[in-house]
Amino acid sequence: MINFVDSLNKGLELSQQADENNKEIDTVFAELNRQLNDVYAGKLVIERQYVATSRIGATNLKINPVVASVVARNGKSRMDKSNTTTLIANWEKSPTGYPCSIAFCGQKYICEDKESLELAIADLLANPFVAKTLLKVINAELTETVE
Amino acid sequence: MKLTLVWWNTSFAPLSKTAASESHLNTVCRVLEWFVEQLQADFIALAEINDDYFNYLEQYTNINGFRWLNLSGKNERITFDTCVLVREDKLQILDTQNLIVSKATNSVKIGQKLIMAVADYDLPVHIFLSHWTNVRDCYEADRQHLGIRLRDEVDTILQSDHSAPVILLGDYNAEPFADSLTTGLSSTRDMTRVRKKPLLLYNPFWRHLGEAKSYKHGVDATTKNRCGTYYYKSGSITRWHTFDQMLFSSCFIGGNAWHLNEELTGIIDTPELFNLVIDAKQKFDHLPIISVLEKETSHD
Repeated sequence: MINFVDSLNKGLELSQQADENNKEIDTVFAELNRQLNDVYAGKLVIERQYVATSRIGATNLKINPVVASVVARNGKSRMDKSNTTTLIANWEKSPTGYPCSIAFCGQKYICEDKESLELAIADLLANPFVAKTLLKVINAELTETVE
Repeated sequence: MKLTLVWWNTSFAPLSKTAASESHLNTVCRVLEWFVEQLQADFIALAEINDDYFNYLEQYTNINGFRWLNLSGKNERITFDTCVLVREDKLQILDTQNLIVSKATNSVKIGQKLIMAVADYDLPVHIFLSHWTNVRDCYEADRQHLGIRLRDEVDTILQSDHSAPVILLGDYNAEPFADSLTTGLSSTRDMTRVRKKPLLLYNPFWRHLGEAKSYKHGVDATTKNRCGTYYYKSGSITRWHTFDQMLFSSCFIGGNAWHLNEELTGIIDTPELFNLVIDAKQKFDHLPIISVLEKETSHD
């Protein structure tokens, strides 16, 4: 006879692993913003902006990838108050955390773990078109911040 | 309307320390002209290209009405080595994306996605070009993972529209029966299964695994036989492998207005190309492959 308790335990174990993966991914973005904040003092924040629905529909939400945009905003800018953000990449994440993917400028990096995600984000920031966009976000503060 | 697709690994070996010879480049130019003039190719994808080879081919190939698109290049961690030529009055490439899978510090290319517009057809056609790394650098277990990840990309299209036109083509460095292509990419030889389960991909290159000619008593089949697309003279069990393949979504197998013409799909095996591939003095080791798609005429 099938051991259903074993099956449930296996499911719970996988669920816990998914939670850990998702937390780990959050820590990568937290560390990114910590480093940016040290240098740019809040003038450059990078976030994932999730869309409300999945590709197929809400009923399948748990088994489909989570789709989001990676956006930059200037936390010191007056424009920020009206949620002005600049799209710099597209983001997809498996419900189990990994793989997750980041796509920009004709490249899509599908990351299987934390280290590869960190490298993909490093490649994103090192891209000259993305860097130029980020510079505009940082400089937006010069003209738009409320004194 | 008819669309003819050709894939060819040119064997230029752009990562090699030795550059491709003038003669090799010139031969590829003449073969490209032949693809266009004799086969009426509309879409030609080439592998083992770099910027220099692309520029040479574009300059010295005498064909008109084609747009050349260099998809080769090195990003931070990966080298892509393909280019495409599309007949401008029929096809337009709308977007391209390089697909890379990374684990820790290792990155592997799984393909390049092209979104293509076809004249007099409303839906975008998604094409995935792949030149997977060879067996020495990537064992089948890892290669299966490449198949699964490429399949994820195909799923993003087919899950929302089972009848979407999707074509995969390339040099997979794996046979049609390899796990990477069957369970990994969900491709099959069984077209009835594809009709019933439209998320499966149909792989017509299962037909091209074996000897091109049957054995016959009294006919010497041992000298110039061909049973695949890739020739490796020192292969201990077989010298031939069917590494170059095209895979089609179910819409081309009776699910839409476009139909795969299997009679015209297969390995391009002229005596000249065959001799280039088996000649040890030449660098060529792949034969080109072809497929033809035909659209039903509207009677509105």
